[in-house]
Amino acid sequence: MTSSILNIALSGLKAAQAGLSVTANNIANANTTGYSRQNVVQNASFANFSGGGYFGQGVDIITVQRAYDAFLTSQATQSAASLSYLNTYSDQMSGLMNRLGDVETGVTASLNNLYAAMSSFGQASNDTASRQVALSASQSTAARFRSLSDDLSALSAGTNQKITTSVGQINQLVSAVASYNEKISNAVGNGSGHTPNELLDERDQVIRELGKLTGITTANQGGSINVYLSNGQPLVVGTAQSKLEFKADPSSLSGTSLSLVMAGRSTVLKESDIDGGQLGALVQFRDNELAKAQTDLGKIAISMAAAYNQQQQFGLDSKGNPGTPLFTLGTPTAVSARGNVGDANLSVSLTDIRSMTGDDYQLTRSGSDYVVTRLSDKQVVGTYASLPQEVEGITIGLASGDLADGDSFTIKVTSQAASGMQVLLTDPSKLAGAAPMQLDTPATNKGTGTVARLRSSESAVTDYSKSVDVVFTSASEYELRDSAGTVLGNGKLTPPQTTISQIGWSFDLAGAPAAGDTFTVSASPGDPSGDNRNALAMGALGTAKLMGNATLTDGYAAVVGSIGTRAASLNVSKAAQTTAYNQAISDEQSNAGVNTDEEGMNLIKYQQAYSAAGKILAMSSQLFDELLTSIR
Amino acid sequence: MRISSAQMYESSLRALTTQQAALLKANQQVVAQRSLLSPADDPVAASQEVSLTTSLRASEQMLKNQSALTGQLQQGETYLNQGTSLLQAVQSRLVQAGSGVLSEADRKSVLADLTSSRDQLLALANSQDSNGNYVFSGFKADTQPFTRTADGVQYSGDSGVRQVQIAPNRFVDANFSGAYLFSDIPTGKNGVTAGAGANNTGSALLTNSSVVDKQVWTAASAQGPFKVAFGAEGAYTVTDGAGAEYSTGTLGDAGSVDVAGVRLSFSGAPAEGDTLTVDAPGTQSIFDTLDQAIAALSLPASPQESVLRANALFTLGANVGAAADRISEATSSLGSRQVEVDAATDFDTARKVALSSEITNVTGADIASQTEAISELGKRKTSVEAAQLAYTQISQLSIFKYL
Repeated sequence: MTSSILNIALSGLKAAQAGLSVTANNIANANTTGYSRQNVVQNASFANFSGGGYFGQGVDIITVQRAYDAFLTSQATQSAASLSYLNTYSDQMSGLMNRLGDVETGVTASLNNLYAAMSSFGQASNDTASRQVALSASQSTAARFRSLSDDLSALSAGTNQKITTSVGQINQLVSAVASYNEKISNAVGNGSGHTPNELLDERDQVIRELGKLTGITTANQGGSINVYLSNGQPLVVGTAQSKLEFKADPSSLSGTSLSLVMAGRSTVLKESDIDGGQLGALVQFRDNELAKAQTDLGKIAISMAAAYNQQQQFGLDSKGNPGTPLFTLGTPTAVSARGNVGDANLSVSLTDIRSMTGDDYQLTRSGSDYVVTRLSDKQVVGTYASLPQEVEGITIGLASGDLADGDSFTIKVTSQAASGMQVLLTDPSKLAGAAPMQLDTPATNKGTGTVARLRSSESAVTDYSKSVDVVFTSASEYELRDSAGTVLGNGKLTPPQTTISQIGWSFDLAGAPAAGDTFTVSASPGDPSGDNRNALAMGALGTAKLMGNATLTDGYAAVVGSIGTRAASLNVSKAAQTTAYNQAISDEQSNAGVNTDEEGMNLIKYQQAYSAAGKILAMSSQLFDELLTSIR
Repeated sequence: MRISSAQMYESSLRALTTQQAALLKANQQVVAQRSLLSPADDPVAASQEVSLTTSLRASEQMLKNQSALTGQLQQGETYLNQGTSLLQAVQSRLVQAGSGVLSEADRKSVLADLTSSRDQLLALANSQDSNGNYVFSGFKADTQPFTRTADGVQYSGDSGVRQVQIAPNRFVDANFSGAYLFSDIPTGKNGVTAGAGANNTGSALLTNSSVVDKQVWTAASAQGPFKVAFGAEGAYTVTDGAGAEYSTGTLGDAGSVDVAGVRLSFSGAPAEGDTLTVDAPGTQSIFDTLDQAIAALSLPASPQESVLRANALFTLGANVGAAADRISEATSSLGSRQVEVDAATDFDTARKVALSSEITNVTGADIASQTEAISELGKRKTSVEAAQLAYTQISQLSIFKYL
């Protein structure tokens, strides 16, 4: 009997000791990230039947268990991943917005200065000082475009750097998960089925960190957790692991590509394959926001360079010579499509900036033909039997080799334009202030048509010595007649087209001309010393709608607006996700977190249990002594 | 609900961070004097700011252009006033010289005055501005517009007129070409040039020419010049430019003949063989007119010469009148341009104020937004202090203090 009491007391002592030990461990890990509080699971020992009934045999320690709820943990992991994605995206957007600058320092300020300088040049076209100011303003505008483009490229390079770092961290965490899978299955085996709580906590923590880096899904398989990319491709299966690889890739529009290496086989990942987490945010930011900003900036640069060159090349410089181009732009690049069979290397160059439209193109070999397609509206702009060919101001030729049937190249024009924007003139007297022709509207016209911006158009032949009457035969059809009345050609305006062109010149028409209305483009070469007509026209470009229905600064305002809108909506999502994340973490912590006050109370509880069990031990020893005394 | 200790610290920290971020933003808004710190704050306002700033700069540039143009117009008016007074002096001298008998001393004095006026007018037409550009040479600012040659004064400029932009779609002429002001002056008066034959012997002195039947004259003017040749006893024959007889008549007591809708009035009587001419206006340079007047006055005075001279001066006087009209037409055109520029200046001045205040509003730089930012700053400061206090209080709670 006493030995039974002794045993019971002993088991109580052991249980209290275990409780104290677990409590101590909980207190020690109160601030350990990812630690789940533990508790001792104990059972009353199997009772012995002994005549008068079943007598308890004390307490058994079953195991040490962690407070864990798979649902709460996975919810917290999910929201941590979403928050990480939004935080990264939003940080990158702030970087982008900072680089665009404010109205006093950004492209807007340069464009406004250029406008003011060109307008002053219009007032005093033969004044060297005002010519110099106009030229300097052109140079500083070009420099502003270049530096903004460089800033965006630097941001892109920085983003790539971050992608490299993320990929390194992902690979590390992936091997950590695989190694935890192995350790846990070993520990379960060695521990006769008891769970290694700390290892499980650490693995959960590693998976959470991995989720912050890239979108993942997980699945339990035995004691292992398998991790997959958001497109379903496996990163970890049991103890087998794949590896992400980020490297330069000439066949990718961004110049780099991400691939997944699995058992020695490499698969290129698309942008949609890596959704979520820091990596997803970085890739999407780079390929969407940043590339769009670079393209939009390029479009503004192209519209501006084309319009100023059209006017400059129309006019006559201080010596009465035809104006030479004012601006040049960055050379387009050709990106060969993945899987091209031929050995072609393209050479692409800008031939005439005046005819550029701000588009990107695709060159495809179809049978023996070379087909050039505009990417914005998928229109075929030309089908050719041979290369080189000029397409909308850009000459596409073969540097070496040739395309095989079905091969294609993307010709990137817009994203490269701003980076190479330069002013070609160095001599202010080369600015074309005088005009070779004049645009007249007779007072007898009955319609509301008004004309503006007589300028050069892309043409090998320019004849500014012949006057031409543009006579409207209906509200939209017109004839071009020379001064003798001979019809040189005719045309029809189909909205939204408003430009009327003829050998080397063109002008814009607004309003509605009536049948019989005439506009005269007359040869009237001005003396450069005092003629300011072309300078005035250049000055007026600042408020002209050079980008469809928008001025250059309106175009830039739209870029700022669209980036701002995107950033604002990300900020809203981020705020919402922060709340969701805090709630999820709070729910998880409610269950699994250590409360030191609670542990303090447990400490008292187990201490008292220990004291009580010790008392029983003392008492049973006393009983035994009494028994011995009575026998003696 | 179970609360973990770490959670208590976390939530206190989160409250503190949130409040501090808001404090920083309010602080930045106050320091930068605007609420719009990033396009993400208000994308619409951010893109509006870009567009409005451009409009503001455009208005400022237009104001500069308008002020420059006003200077040029005023300068132009000075030149024109000078021209007007010169031509008025010439006109009064011509009236004096054309009024019949002229003493030799008067003739010389008029001649000297005319020569001096012509030279002054030539100097005026060759005026240069402060940059050395010729004012009246059209686009050829480097070329002296009027030069004297053996054939008289030649114009070497062109008919170009410089313009200035005063509004996005409005360009206003800033000057006049010498061709318009001095060279291409219509001859005659009221659309008719009239003259008397250089070999007339009678005492007929032209006093007026006027169109009495506009329809007839309009139809007939192209057939000119018409020549009225007087025969015996006041009979006259009118021939057209081709020499064909156009009409005949007999001179009554009226002292006037009607030719193709034009009435020529004269005093005195024409002698047999005298002629009068009527033509549609051509163009002649004011300098040629003045040269001809000087030539007419260079002959010594005598009764017969004075009739011929007076008739010549009648024709030339009409031409000088036309030149004076041209200058006054230009002056009134300058006036109406100035009115337009002033209106544009008023518009852009008002627009500049409106745009500035609109920019202030969209960027939140106005007083209301700034007051709001300052009160927000105070509020956030209190919130940060409250969060700090809460944290220090909560962190003191622990069961271990009692163990």
